[in-house]
Amino acid sequence: MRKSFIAALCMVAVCACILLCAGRPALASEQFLDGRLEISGFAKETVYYRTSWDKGEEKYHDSRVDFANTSLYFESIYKLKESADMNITWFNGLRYWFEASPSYDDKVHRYMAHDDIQKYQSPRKFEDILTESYLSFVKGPWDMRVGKQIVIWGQLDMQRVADVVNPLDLRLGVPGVDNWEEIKKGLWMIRTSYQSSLPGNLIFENIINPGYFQQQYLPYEGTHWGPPHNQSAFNPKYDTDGIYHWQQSKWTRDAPNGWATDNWELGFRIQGYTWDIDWSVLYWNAKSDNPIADANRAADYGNNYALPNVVGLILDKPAYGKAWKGGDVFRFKRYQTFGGTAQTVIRPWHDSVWRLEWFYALDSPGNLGTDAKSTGVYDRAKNDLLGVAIQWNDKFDIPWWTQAIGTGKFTDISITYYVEYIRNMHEDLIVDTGYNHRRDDPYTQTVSCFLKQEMFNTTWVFVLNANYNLMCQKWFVVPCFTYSFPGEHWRADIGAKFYGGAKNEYVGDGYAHKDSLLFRLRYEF
Amino acid sequence: MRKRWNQLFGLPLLGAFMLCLAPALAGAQEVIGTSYTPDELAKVKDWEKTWVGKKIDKTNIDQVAAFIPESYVGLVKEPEKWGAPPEGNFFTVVAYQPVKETKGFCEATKKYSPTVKKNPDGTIANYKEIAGRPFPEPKDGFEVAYNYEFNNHGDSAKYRRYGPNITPKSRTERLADQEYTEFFFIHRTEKEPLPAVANNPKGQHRAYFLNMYKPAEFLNTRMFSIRYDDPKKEDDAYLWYSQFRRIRRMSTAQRTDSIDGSDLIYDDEYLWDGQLTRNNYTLKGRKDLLCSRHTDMKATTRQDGQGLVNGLTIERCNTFVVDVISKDPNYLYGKRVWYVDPETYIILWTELYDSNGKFWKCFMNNTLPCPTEIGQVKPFIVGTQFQDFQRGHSGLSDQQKFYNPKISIDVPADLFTVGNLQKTF
Repeated sequence: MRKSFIAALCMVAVCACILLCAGRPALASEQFLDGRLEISGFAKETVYYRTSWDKGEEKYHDSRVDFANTSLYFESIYKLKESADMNITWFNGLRYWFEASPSYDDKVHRYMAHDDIQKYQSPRKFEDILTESYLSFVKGPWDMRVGKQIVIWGQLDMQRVADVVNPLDLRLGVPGVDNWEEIKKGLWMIRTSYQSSLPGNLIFENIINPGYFQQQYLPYEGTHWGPPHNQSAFNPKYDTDGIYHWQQSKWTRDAPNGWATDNWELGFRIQGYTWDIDWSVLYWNAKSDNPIADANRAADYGNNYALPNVVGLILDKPAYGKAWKGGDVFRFKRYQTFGGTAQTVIRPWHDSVWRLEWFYALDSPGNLGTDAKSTGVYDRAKNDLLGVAIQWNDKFDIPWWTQAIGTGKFTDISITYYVEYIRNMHEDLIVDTGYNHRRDDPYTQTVSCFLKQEMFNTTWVFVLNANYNLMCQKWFVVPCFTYSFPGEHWRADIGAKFYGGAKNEYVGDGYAHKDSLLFRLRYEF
Repeated sequence: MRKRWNQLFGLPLLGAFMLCLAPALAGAQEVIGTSYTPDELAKVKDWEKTWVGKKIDKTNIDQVAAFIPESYVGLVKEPEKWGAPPEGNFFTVVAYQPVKETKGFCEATKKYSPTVKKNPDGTIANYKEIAGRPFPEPKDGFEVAYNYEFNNHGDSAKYRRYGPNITPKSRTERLADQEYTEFFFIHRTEKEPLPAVANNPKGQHRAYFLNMYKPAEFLNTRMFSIRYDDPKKEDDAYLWYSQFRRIRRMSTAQRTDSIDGSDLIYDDEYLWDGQLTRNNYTLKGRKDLLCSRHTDMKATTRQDGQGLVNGLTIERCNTFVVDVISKDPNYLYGKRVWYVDPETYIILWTELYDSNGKFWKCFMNNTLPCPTEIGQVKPFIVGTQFQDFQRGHSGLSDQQKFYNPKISIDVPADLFTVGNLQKTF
C-alpha cells in the first residue's frame, strides 16, 4: 500500500512538472530541430464518481470514486527527408497511464486479482507504451508505412462496422469517451496505398501483417469498467479471485500474442468516388481478437475453479482454483471479413450527410453451449455474420437557440441505425456481451444518437451520446459538457453516464449499474 | 549638321525605342480602376496635409468620423468595452497610394474584359473562359460583385492564420491557428495554364486545403473544399478529424453555421465566400472611407483580450457601396453592405444586419501589396478584424504572424484529394 502511494505521488509530481513546464505560450505543437521534429499530445486526469452500485457491490469499495486515471500521450513526427519528389517521416505515439483507485481504495486493492493490479495501474511492458511507431515513405502516388500502426477503416464515430483491423483495449476506456489512440492496440504491419488516376480517383490499399498478434483486452474484475467482485467470486466475502478473472487470465495466456508466422493478417481496400458517392470496399483475413473455448477442455478448466470454490463456499473458507495443466483452453480462430462504406450528401433532404457501412464476416468463430450459456460449452460453431449501419447526419439552425446559446453554431445531430444478422444460427449459439443478441434470435438492432452543441463562442460544448437496443430494450446515455479555459491548453469535462433497460440473462449486461459522474481535466499541446 | 542628324536618325530612333518599349509598358503592373478623379485626389491630398501621420484615438476620432463606419467610431470612443489597453484603441493615418494589379492580371483584363458576354439575367455567359477583371468600369452592383469574385489571389496562395476569438469583457480569448493552401482552376492570370486548367472534368473553380493546428483538440485535423464553376452546385468538402482518425464527407450547404467559436459564418470568409448568384446586388454609390490598404500586421500591437489591434494604418479610399441581400428570405443576415476597393475589388469593410434589420456586425479587411513567388506584387488580405456589436464579441485574423503569405506558388496536383488527407503530416 505504502509503495503504491509513493508511486502515485511520484506520478502526480511528474505530471505536475510536465504541465508546468509546458504551460508557457507555445505553438499548437512543440517543434524542434528546425521544425523537423514535432511533438504534441495531452495529459489528462479522468475521475468517475459512481452514483449507483450493483446489488452488494458497494461493500467492495471504500470510495465512490472508483476510477482516477492520469494519462499522458505524446505523439512525435520526425521528418527524415522532405523534398518535392519524396517524403520520409517517422511517426511515434507513446502513452503512459496511472490508475490510482487501487492505491487509495484499500478494498479495490484487496479484491482485485493481484496480477491484474499491476497491469491495470500502469503499463507493464513497452508494447503497452508504444502505441504506434512507423516510417512513412511518400513518393508520388505511393504511400508506404512500415511499423506499428493504428488503422481506421470506416466513417462512423462510435460503431466499428467496417473498422476491423486493430483490436481494442477496453481496460481503461471505451469508444466515444476516450481517443482511439488510447483504446486501440497498434499492430506491426506494412501498409501501402496507391492513388490512381483512374476514373473515380481510385485509391488502392494493402495491409500485410507478417505475424504480429494482439488480442482484445477486456476490463479487469473489480475495476470501474469490469464486472464487480461479488458477481464473479463464488464466496465474495473473501478476496479470492473470481471466475471472470479465472477465465480472462487463461484467455490472455492462451492468446498467441506477439510474433508467429501463423498470425499473419492480410487486408485490401479500394476507395473511390462515383455518382457523388464516396465509397470503399474492403477485405480482411485475420485471426479473431476474441477467443472461443475448446469444448473438450472448457468444462474441465471451469471445474478446476468451480469445485474448490464450491467446497470453500460450503466450508466458508477462502478457496483458490486448482492449477491447470491441460494446455490451451481458448483458441483464436481465423475468419474473413468483406465490407464497405459509402457516404454522400443528399441535397434535397436538407443537405444531410448519409453514411452506410456494412460487413460480412465469413466463418466467424463461436461456441455452442447448453441453453446458450457460456457455462455449458459443448461445441464450436462457425457462422456468417452480416452487419449494416446507416447514419443520417445534419445540422440545424434552431430559432433563438442557435443565436442566443450557440452564438451562431448550429446543432449537429447524427442518428445511426444498425442491424446485425447471424446466418444459420443454432439455438445454442452463445451470443453474449459483444453481440447484444437475444437467445436464438439471429437479429439485433440498435439506434444510436449523437448530438453536439457548441455554445457561447465554443467556450462550452455539449455532447450527448445515446444508444438503444431495440431487441433487448437496453440503453445508455452519456451527456457531457466541456469547458475551454481561456488560453490554449486547458479543457475540463463534466458529464454523466447512465445505463438502463430490460434485463435478459442472455444479453450482455456488463455496464449496468455503472452510472457515474465524469470529471476530466485535460492539458492539450 | 547636328539638327539634321537628329532629324534623320534621332526621332526615328526614339520612335523605334518607344515602339519597343510599348509592349513592355503594356505588360507592366498597373492600377485598374480609380479611387479618385484628379479633382477628388487634390482634395484628398489637401486633407492629408492635416492628418497623415496622426494617431486616431478617442480624443480625435469625431473629427474623422465621416470616414469611419459608425460602429468602429464607437469602438474607439469606448475602448474599455473592447478590452483595450490604457492607451485605448487607435489607428494611424497614412497617405493614399494607388494599388497596382499584377502584370498577368492587367493583361488578362485587357484581353478578356472586351469579350465578356452577359446572359439576360446579368450572369456572365463565358464565365469559365475569361480572367482578369471582367468589368473595369462596373455599372451596377452585380458587376462589382463579379469583379470581386474574379480576384484570383494570385492563382494560388498559402498562408497561416493566427486567429484569436476574443471576449473583450472578460479579456479572454481562444486561439485558432490554421494554414490555408488555395488554388484556382479558372480565372488564372499569373502562371500557366492560363486562363484555366485544361484538364478539369469536374468543373472546379477553386479549392482550398486547410490544416488546423489550434485549438489543440483540432491539431492536425485537415480538410479540403472544392467550389465548382456551376453556380447551382454546392461545394464539396472532406474532413480528416484527427481525434477520430476518420475521413468525413461534410455538408457545405449550411453556410450560415458559425465557424468554430468565431463571429464568422462560412459565407463570411474574405467577407463573402459563396456563389454570387445567391444574392441580389445594388450599387448605392461611392463612400470615402479610411481603409486598411497598406497594413503590415507585424507592426500592429495588441494585448490579450483586446478586440481590435492597435496601429492599423488607414488611408482614404473612395469605395463602392453595394447592398447585398440574399435571395433566401430566411437568410441569417437581412443585409450586407460591402465597401469595395475600386482598385483591387477587395471588400475593405462590411456591415451586417440581422434578419430584423438591426445592425449586428462590422468586419474590416487589412490588405497589403505582397510580393509573389514570380516577382510580381499582388494586393492581398493579410488580416481581418471581426466585431459583433450585438454580443460585444471580437475576433481577428493575422496572416503575417507566422510568415508572409506565399502567393503564386506551385501547388501539388494531388493536394485536394482524399488520399492526401490520409497522409502523415
